[in-house]
Amino acid sequence: MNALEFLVVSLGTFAALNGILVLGLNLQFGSTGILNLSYFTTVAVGAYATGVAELPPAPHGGLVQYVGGFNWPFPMAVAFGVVIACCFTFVLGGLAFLRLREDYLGLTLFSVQAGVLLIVTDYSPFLDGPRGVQGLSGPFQDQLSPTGFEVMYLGLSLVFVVATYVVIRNLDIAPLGRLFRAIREDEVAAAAVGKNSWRVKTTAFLFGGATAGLGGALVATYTGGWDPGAWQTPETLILLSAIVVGGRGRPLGALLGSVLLIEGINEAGLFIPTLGDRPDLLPALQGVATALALFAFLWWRPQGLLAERPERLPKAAVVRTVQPTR
Amino acid sequence: MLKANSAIATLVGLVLLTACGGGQSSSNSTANQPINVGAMFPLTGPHGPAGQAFLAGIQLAAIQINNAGGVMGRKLNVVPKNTNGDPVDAVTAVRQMLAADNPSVVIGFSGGDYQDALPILNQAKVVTLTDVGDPVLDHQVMPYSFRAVPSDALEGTAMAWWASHEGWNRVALVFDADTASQTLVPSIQAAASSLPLTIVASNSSDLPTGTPSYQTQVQAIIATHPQAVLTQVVENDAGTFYSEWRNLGGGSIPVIGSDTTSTGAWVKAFGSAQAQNELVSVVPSTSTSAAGAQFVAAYTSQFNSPPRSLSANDYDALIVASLAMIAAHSTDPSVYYRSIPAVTTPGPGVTVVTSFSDGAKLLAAGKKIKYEGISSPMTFDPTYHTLAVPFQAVKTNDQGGITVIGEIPAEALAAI
Amino acid sequence: MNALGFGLVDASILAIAALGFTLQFGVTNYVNFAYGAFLTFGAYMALAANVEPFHLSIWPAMLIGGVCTAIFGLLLNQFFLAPFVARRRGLIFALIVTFTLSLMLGDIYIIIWGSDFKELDYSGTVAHEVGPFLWSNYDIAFMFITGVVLLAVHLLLTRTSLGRSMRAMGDDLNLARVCGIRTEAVVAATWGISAFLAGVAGVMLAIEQRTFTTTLGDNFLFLILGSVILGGIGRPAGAVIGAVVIGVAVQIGVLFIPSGLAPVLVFVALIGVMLLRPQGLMGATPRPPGQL
Repeated sequence: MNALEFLVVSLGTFAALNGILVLGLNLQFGSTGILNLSYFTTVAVGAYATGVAELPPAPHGGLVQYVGGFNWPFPMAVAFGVVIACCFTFVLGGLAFLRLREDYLGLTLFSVQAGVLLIVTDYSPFLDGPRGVQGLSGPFQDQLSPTGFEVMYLGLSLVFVVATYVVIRNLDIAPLGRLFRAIREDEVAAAAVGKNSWRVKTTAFLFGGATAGLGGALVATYTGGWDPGAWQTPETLILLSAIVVGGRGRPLGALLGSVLLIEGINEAGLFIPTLGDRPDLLPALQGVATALALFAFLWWRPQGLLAERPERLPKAAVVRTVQPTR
Repeated sequence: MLKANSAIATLVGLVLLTACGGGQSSSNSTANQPINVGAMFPLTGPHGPAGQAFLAGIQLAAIQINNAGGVMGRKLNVVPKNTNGDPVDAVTAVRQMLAADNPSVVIGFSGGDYQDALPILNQAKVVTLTDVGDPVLDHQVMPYSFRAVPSDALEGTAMAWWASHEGWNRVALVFDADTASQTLVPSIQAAASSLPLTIVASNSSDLPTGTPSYQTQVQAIIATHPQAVLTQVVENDAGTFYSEWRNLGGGSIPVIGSDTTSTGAWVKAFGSAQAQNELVSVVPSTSTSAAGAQFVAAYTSQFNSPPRSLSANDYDALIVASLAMIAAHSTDPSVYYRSIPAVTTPGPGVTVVTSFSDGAKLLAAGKKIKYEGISSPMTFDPTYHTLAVPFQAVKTNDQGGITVIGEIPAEALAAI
Repeated sequence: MNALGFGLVDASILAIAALGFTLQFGVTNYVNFAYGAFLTFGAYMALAANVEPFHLSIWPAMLIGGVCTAIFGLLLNQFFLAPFVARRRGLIFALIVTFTLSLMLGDIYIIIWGSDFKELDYSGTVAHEVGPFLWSNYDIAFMFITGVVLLAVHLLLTRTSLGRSMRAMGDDLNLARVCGIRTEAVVAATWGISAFLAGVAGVMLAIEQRTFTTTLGDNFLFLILGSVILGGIGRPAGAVIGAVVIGVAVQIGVLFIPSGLAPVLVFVALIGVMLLRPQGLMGATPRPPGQL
């Protein structure tokens, strides 16, 4: 495989994996209007859970410490990661939605994200702190050559992202999807016509969380490990920007935004040499560029590049709302 | 749909543009093809300046080797790859290198980015010389990987040894809640049980990230009256912790640090005036031989700045790999990896050399050599490929100038 | 017992910061996630005043840090946040904007000032015994300043028309408009006050920590949020009470639990509040969502 082939394969795999991640957040935020600032924490939960399921038990009294260690094969470990991510999402969302209004919700989710990051990083016995879990492997990693593994994982990621897209798209056009958007547009009105907003929001949150867990599991087994450096606060922002830029609410739009913003701005940075004697400049500039892209779209085109197609409702069902909420 | 198409067009354009810029197609190595040397360092981000200095060590070695005729007549070509200090980026960089550059040797990595990339290199049977101090690697058998730096476990042991040597037996530990505490503290604790050394106030030793001040912990440590403090914290935390120490009446106390604390910036954060009296850093010994001085001179004239602590390690690493290739008459890592111990093990009938050109000449004449490095003797443990090195206790001034005040022999550390 | 003293000092700084945060939320009804960046800004402005190039003493520098941050907050609101809110009505947009801003500002600080640590120039921080506590003159000064600030804010809210307008807007925005309150002006003034408090708190934090980097406010923000949620978001008195609880708990907690788990205390407070009393200790029923 030469350089160009490798570039395509590697970018493609990361694009597919980021696509899975962005689809989950799009379901929570784009479709249902829940601004989940702790989304990447859920991704981390999926990644860590898969990791500790796949790894053997931590050697007692050794340097490396983590809970779990079940030595499960790849499919079981990934399934475990998704399940644990769902549990986390349910506990977090269920509690939060039951009690909190929108403004408190954003605040609380942000605090959860910050707090969990601090705890996992500082308290090593839980998930090996800064070192994180290492030595994860994808399916057939021992049998394949490095090139073979790359190609296999590209295929695997594409299969998963397409499957995820299909599931979410079907969810979107089903009545449940309309419920999500109804909650997003006007929660009070939806409640007035008898829709249980807690149930709808928790369902959307759960689907998004499962997707997050799946994405986290796949990224961790692709790169071989997961540590606090992979899920810092700006990560959720990058996904959020992708959704806003690409097309809010529309799964294809979210995927497009992911490719443009994440691959374009972030991965390209790997190939640009250091600027002068300030090596910290490039990542900072990338961050500023992503932020500016987000602001530009929020200002001029908040629905993103691929706008949501307007609902086509039967005439009799059209209700005028008194004040626009978007 | 139009917009999606234009997005795809953009992506294809980006890919083509990058392809025009670089990448070599792998082909069978011919006599005049350069030998690719992979250099994996964080070249951006907070560790960027350090990474660039280490890369420069490799580049200097490559220049000197090429000037001396190269390896079996072929030139070395250093291919730098940016790990960004991040394990995921390191994996991407390694996979790209393996696919596109067919490296004969890979040198580099640091504590924060090797975790996932190193197993890949071993699986691909590529010889790797790493700058990773994490003791997790100390008992892993990786036939193709060699440590170009001593394990942090050794450094922790050296710090404890020095404390005991200076006559202190009640010490406190002050470490960041990060990799430092994960790698150094366990070895200090292990050494303390063999030496007559007691660690006090151990539950206050990790400084958490989220709290605005460390005063309670400082107080708790002061109250146990330690005779010395063993420490490794980042500069910003050093500034906070040690100023609070003085404010709360901890007074002047001997502080033993690691190589992290031996820089001018750290000394400034600690307090330059106090550092001269209190702070001693325990670092791997650097050679005072003529070869060492030559290295410093050559590096400084090539790059217009002095080398950093690990530049010499990576310089030695490339020379070792090159000599091994000559000894094995092959640049294929799956073949010459066995020759690395062959050119670095002392013994009867083995001539000690300190430069590539001397070593290459002797190998060409069929002699056995042992390369002795500038950074360390470069003698690898046969099973785990770790280095046993002597350490030094040094004082640093706030310009970064270093004065050696004591030696810590490798034998003393092995005995613990 | 010393830990309690240390906790009170932390709580003072936290109280000023939390107060600024909650005042702004009370009036605008959206969260300013970039608040941590305001603290950092104050510290860097004080650095310019105190070290290079003006070499003023630390106390005027603190004031300058606060004033510069106030101007920064005013400009940010005037030319960026208020137009955004007017153009894109909807709480979510404001949240996204301030969240993005917090990260962008952090990057901008790195571009301007670099990632190495900075130090303010001051002396005389040795602690001495004050009753059962160990405090330095600066610690006592901080608590004194906090007391003054609390008093000033209290007077502002109860005795001035601006304060009354702020409280009116906090209770019912539409009614406030109907009553003729110039809401844009009040919002602008509130941003100035909130940013001023953030700047002052940032300088205090930089003094307490001796060395600081561009992430000075970020880690502190977690504690601020904890205090504010605990006390009831939008309630000034609650913010202060929350700050005292969190500030003291973190310092005392370190004595009993492994220091790496200190954030757990804030967490417990957060979850407790979520489950038992979402409006916080001092909170009343919150405003309907989405109303800006």
